[in-house]
Amino acid sequence: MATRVYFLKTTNSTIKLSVLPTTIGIAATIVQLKKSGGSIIDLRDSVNDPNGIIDNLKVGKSTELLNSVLVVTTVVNLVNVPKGQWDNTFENIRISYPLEGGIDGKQTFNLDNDDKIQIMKKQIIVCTKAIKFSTNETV
Amino acid sequence: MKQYKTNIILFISILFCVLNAHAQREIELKDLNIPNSPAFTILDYSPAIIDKPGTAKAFSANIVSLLSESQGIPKNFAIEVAPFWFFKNNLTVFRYHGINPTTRTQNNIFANARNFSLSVGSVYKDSTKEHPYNANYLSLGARISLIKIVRSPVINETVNSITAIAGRMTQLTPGVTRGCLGSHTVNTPIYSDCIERELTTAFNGDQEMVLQEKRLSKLLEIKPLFQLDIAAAGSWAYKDNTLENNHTYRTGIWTTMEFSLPLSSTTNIEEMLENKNYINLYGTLRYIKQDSTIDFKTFGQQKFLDIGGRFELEFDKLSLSFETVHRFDQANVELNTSRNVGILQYRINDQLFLSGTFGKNFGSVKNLVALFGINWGFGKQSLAE
Repeated sequence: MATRVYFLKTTNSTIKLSVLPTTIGIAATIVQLKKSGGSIIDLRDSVNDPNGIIDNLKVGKSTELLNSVLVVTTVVNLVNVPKGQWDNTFENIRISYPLEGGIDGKQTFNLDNDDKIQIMKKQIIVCTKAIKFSTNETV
Repeated sequence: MKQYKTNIILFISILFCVLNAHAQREIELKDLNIPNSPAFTILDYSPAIIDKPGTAKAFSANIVSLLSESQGIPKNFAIEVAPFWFFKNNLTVFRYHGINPTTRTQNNIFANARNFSLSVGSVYKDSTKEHPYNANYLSLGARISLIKIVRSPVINETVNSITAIAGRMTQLTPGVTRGCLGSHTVNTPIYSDCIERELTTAFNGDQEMVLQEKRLSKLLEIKPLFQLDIAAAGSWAYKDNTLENNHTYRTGIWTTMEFSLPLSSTTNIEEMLENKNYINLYGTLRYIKQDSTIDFKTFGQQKFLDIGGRFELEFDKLSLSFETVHRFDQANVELNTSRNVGILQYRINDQLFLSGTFGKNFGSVKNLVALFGINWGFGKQSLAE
């Protein structure tokens, strides 16, 4: 469950994020930004889209994001999936998080095994991806 | 009082079971229903435990374990798998249900087919007076729900319900994550504990969320307008459990079509959600071929083609039906026969069914059917299944 790092440019470029879950469960995604000072900003959620997709979200300008942590939470409800297949659905869930606007241009992070947990007797899956914004100098 | 009534029903059922134990021996292949696990049904075998490995890794481990533990062909086992769940796929929630969310129509009537299951099993029989040789019977079967047509009001409301659950989760989650992020470092065990605790409280305590989840579960349980299931199985006998001494035993293919008409409005979704009463019409086609022997040297072959149907009235826990099946003997037309029975079933709970069958069975001698019994362990199957 390690926090990943996305390197920012020193110029004032715009950082964009998409969240692309693949699951047969009902998904909802929340994107929040924890600023270096500790404040938390809600950036966007997937509203009523049960695929939990967030497309092309403008996270902010590079200069404003330094040392902030982007926290993407996708909650997946398996009420529509046979109970006997909840473990398999948990194993098979995939989420990609393409970010652009940084030093490496478009960089896609993926959901890792330790980013997801099962709660409420396995009916709910919570996936948390944390990505820290940094520059080469600050690492 | 309720407990008292259940006890009386149980006592009477057990009594009938004991009295009719002999008569129930040969019921398996005479059932009109398509078997859930055709590999076991083809052997008239009701395993007490069926291994259902949930992952490809667990399935491989089961097979390796069976092969390493047995000398020769593995004996007395029952495994059932649904391969779809073993692999990652690109399906989304609506595609999984075969729904186009934009048009609110069913765009894939074959969506349920991906849940097809494979079953493999074996029964070892020692030599007896009736079965004068040792043999291991190995079987392989498959079952698929090929076509499922769901009524449009159900599709429409399923889209609404799924969307409502997603919407509710997006409303409830930010407050929880904000609280946990404020007090803990993300991606630490204590943060995960906080998320689990607070999200459980938020979701369980939200009446609309609970209501929508129940509503969706009910919607998914509404009987489809039409469903076509197919099952097939083959089995082989291995004398003395050796590969050299083998012969085909019994092969079968079943297909069942089910048409369900709710005894309520089919346009008003609220009435459909509350409805538990149906008229069900079933059509079935079944082919069975069996090679019989008494010495494993000479074999006689029987081939049957069964065509039949069932008319059923389902009133919540009680179902009454009439079933007729015509059997065409492929080897001897004079042996063509039919089975006409009335069936009564009462669901005591999700795991326990009380059933009675009365009428005329196949054949011309000893063909009276009068069976009472309890079936259990069928899970949440419909009375009709």
